Amino acid sequence: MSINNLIGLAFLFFFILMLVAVYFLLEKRKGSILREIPAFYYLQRAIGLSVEDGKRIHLALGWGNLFEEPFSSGLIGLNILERLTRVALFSDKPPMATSGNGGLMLLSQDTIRHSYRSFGLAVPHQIYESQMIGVTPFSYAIATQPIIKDEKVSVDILLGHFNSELGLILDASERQNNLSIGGSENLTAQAIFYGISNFPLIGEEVYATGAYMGSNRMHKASIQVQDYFRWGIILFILMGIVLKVLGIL
Amino acid sequence: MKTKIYAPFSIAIAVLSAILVLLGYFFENGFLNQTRSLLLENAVILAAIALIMGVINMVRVHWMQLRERKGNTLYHLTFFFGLIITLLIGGWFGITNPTSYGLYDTIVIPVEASLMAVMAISLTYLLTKIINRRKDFFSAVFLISVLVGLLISAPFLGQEIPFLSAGNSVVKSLLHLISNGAMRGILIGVALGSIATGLRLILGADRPYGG
Repeated sequence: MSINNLIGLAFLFFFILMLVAVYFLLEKRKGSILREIPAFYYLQRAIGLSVEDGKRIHLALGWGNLFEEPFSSGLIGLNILERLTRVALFSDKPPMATSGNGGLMLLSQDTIRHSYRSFGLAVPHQIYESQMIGVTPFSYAIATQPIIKDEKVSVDILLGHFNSELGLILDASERQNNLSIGGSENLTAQAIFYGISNFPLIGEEVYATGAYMGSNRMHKASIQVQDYFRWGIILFILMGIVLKVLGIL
Repeated sequence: MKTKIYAPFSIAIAVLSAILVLLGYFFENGFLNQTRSLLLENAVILAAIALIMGVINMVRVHWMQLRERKGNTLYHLTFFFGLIITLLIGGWFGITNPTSYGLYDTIVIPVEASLMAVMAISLTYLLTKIINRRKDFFSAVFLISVLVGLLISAPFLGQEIPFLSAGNSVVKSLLHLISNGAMRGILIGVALGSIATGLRLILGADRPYGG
């Protein structure tokens, strides 16, 4: 085993250990461990308002491939989809999930199905609720435009892998005066989100979505562990700088 | 709440597959490497099936919308026309044939390039709205960074601006240093988030497969 693999494995092992430890520690801890992020406050409010108004929530899951790293932000989108479906279960207009990848579409269909079944409800035909709308980034972006325009969408949540084509989706959302909230692991997409969307999620904020949207304790534990590791990395970098300046490295 | 009978099995399969693939990545062991390759090959086949399912879903949606006269009929007809032509050419000549590639090069690429041009204009227009949308310090920093970035990346009206876009100017080097540092910082956060997401899947805490 190479030294790089060994370091990687040790890192993962330590991460899991911390995750489990913090998970059990959180059981005893009272009060919130989360700092305030306006995007999540407005997201929760927007979900409630759209259900009351009989409007639809559009969740764009992007076009992340199952075998590549960008898929991780799509998984966060799926997590939100479960929450959205449960909230809007009895609404006239259930949330609509669009994706640019077959795998994401199947997983989103399964997530919706699971939400209905968990409440003992009959699963509806999900022809409109979960769609693959394009297989290339631009075809995906263009295909979201009629959905945003024609489906009485009031909130656009964009969580997944996007690139510069994101501008076209946010343009359509802006034209309809919709509330747009989103984030991605891609830096170009993050810059576009920051410039155009109402509430951008920058960097690791995307990965905190589950914890803020009332998911299980493991999400909160993972956020806590991410914070510890981030501080660890910052200290490690600072140590490296000091050692380099001193001429030791 | 109802629990599916097969839920524990789907969780077990997902968790076991994830652990085997991860171990196969770190350890050079014959059994682990073979299992990892086998699982990944099967996953590739499943991804291809998922793509076919996605295309079937697209056909169903467009067909139903066409029947219900929902949305713009021209969009739906264009979709079916494009799909039939692609299937015919791809099926007749094979997907590696130059004719099939030609279809992609002469239609898809020019259309996407024109969309890129449209997007550049809409992005510029939308960016100006940031002044009305968020009146805070960071928005001002963002806007100034965009303007300075544009000025240093290319000559302005054919003229290089001294101390900005010229060669290795101090401003240019300083801005690259700051932006590279910021990008790395964001990417460290994203990497940690990705690791945490992956581990939640491996531990069975996140189950996007409906288990």
